[in-house]
Amino acid sequence: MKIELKKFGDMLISRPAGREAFLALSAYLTRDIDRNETIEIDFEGVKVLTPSWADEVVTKVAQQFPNTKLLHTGNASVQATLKTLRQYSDVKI
Amino acid sequence: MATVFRERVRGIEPLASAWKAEVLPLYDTRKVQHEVYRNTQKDQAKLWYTVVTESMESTLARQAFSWATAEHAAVNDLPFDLYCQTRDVFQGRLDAMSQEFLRASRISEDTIYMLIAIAGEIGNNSFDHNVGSWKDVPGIFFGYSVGQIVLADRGCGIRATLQRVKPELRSDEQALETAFKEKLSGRAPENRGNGLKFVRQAIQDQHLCLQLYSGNARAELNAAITIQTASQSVPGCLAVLAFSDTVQI
Repeated sequence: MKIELKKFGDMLISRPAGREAFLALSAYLTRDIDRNETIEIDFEGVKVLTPSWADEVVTKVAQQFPNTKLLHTGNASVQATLKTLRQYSDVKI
Repeated sequence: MATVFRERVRGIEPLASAWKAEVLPLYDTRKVQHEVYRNTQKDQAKLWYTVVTESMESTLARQAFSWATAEHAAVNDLPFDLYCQTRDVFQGRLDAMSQEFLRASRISEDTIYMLIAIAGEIGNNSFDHNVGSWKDVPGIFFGYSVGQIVLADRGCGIRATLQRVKPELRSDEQALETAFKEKLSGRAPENRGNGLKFVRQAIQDQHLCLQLYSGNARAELNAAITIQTASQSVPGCLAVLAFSDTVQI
């Protein structure tokens, strides 16, 4: 299944907003999804992403679903954030 | 004869100590001659005044310094467009800033979005670590102008925050060193603590300059990071993010 982050906004910045996004997607999108299913996190349309927001969503989705893939990660803040998560939050995507 | 700039400023008047502070040494503003002309109307005296300087870049950071270091402050000391009482207001102002920069800027969209990300991390840090325990005024100072973004809070500062989880910290310099270089969060056991590491990397990658003051320490980040004792103390935090001033707002 695909999680389109732009549906949460194009400036994804604060940790509480990320936590709220994760709770919402856990309730409505990923609740009945098998752990081994492939999850695609799509960053298309995201203009600003910070490690605080992403740590609450990307890190947790990746921990929950080992087959997580990232799509359209070209934006500079997306790339910089993913680099930080890989280095400091032990995200292995 | 030196060129002078007359800048119409809203909000608090910078204290005398703010003009002497080593805020924005990039522009060498310590040597700037300045005069302040207040409005004559009594009820507006605190809201509008004109600053005459030899450099355009000085006032915003000095307003933030004055507010952050004042003995006492109240919610209405700052005009609404420099004050974000809650995170939601801050997010709205970040949106507005991105629109202004995109409309008037000659710098790249990518750089603008990175500036938003950096300012967002720094501003949200203030809320994350001080909510419920601000000294007096809840929220943050957030302002921007040509080539700079300024954020400040009247919180407890980085050392007090990190000492909750690292009691062996002995100085504000050590605290800034830890904040920028170690994976450690003042809100442990929550797994946090990557925001300022991101800020440091982004400053380096985008060729920006950040000065961050907390307690008696000052960190200057550009290609490298330098942490030293500051000449003036800021109890909470003050951050001045400088970027190529080709933005016309």
